[in-house]
Amino acid sequence: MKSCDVFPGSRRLIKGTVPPSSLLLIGPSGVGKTIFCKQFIYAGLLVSEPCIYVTTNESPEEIEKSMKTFGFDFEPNKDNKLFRIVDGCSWKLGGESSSKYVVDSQHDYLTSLSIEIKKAKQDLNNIRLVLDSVSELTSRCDHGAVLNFLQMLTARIRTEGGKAICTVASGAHDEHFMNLLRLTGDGILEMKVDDSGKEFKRLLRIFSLRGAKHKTNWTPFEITDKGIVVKSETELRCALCSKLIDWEPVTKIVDGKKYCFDTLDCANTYKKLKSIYGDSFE
Amino acid sequence: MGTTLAFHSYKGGTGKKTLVTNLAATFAMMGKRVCLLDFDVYAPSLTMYFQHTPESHLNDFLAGEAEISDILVDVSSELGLNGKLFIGFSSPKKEDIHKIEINHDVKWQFDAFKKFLAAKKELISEYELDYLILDTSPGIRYWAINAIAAANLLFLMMKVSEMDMVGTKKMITEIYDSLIKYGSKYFIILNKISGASPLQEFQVNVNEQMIREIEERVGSEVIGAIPCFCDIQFSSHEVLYAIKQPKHQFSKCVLDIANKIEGKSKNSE
Repeated sequence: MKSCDVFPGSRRLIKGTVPPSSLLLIGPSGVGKTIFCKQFIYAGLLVSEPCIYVTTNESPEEIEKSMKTFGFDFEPNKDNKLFRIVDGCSWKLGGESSSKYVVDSQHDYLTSLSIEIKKAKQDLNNIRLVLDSVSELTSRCDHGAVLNFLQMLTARIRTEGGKAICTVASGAHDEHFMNLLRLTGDGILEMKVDDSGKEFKRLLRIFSLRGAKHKTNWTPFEITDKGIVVKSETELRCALCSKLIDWEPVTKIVDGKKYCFDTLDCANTYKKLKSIYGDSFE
Repeated sequence: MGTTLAFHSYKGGTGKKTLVTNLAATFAMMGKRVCLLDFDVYAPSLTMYFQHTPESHLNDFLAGEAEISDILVDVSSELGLNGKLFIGFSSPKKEDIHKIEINHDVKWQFDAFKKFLAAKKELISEYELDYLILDTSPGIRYWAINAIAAANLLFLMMKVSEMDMVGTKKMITEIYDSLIKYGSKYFIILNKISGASPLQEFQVNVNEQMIREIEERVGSEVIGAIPCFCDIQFSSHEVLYAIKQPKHQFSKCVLDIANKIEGKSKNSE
């Protein structure tokens, strides 16, 4: 059993399953977008989903090294080719790359990127794809061309039943472009930093996600040595199984006392045990 | 949402283990996703039916020394099943049985059970189970009662004997009836019925009048009635008849019970 999030905090923030979708991840530089993406990829590899990481500002070596730092062991999947990196970065360094899918400087950048992504996903279905980052693309290509490229890429991933996350640096683009960009995906994840209080806080929220019921409030997260950990605002736990209650609790009065449960099944099991063991069951 | 089934009996020797293992295999042959957990922690014996020596047991999970996923063995492909069958074995080691029964205090036992309840949700959702089957130990013992409380549909196995009938009725009055108001449903399965005619290939005659009388006496619906089959009774080893001998009358009885449970499960949703 691989009991893991589709992306960091997804089980806490989304009710039910995450639909096939392309998401924009918007946040300031240094907030944790890239780690978030690597964790999204690793979560896919854990359930044997094919994953493609399209990088524009890190070399494949840097990505692999950083993933290892957080314990995201992708090595078994390199051998079975479930994990592929499309290298849109190394051309700047003369084109040397450990990846089979490298953007070259002979073609237009977006055309070459499209060709390499197509090659990388040729024999794969239901892929997870990361594009890190859209902002880097706009520094090289016309905004209209980037939007077209993204619309085609995300539509293709979604219709093939896959999931994609594209990162965008907040504050790096004008409002008009951001508004158009927001229309390209099925949902928007936002990250921000709050340093107004005593503590430096990182926060995440799902601004929108088509086809899923989700929370919309800002939720704190931390970057730990195992990656991103999304915290709960309240630590309400089920009176029976002690599981963290992420959604509305099932509240029941038993023997005059109020209890919160994770599910109705837990509430009923609690009552059954009470009826059998009496007060000794607490 | 998968259904949790618990199989219980007043006393041992009712053929519960043989039925439960064959039923789990039958469900999986029908294409269902099934997990069978050995909550007969005092006398575990699922290894007799599924020849495996797992690295981790249910005991390790309850002690917090393993994840629930660590203890499950997927036997689907080796048995050629259309669906999925995962088995969670209990440790047959004397010291492990002793430990779970005596070495831990009540708080430990409750905490371990709560851990199982949390894992049960994960199991059903992550493994997309249709059925989680809990095989329990006979009688009113701690882990048997807990398994019963954790289940939606309860099945009481009994032989047609006065002792079984009185004991089963007593358990129903003292425990089962109090669970109904919290959503549980229970049914009787009669096993090893003497006087039936299992030797005729297409006909197993069970006395319907007798079944109605038992239903009236114990106050519950009889969902299955299995004749006593000499070859099973005196077999030197345990067999998954549902797989090895699907045409055996016993396998047909198990299939009939599986279909009835399917119906009850849908009704209880």
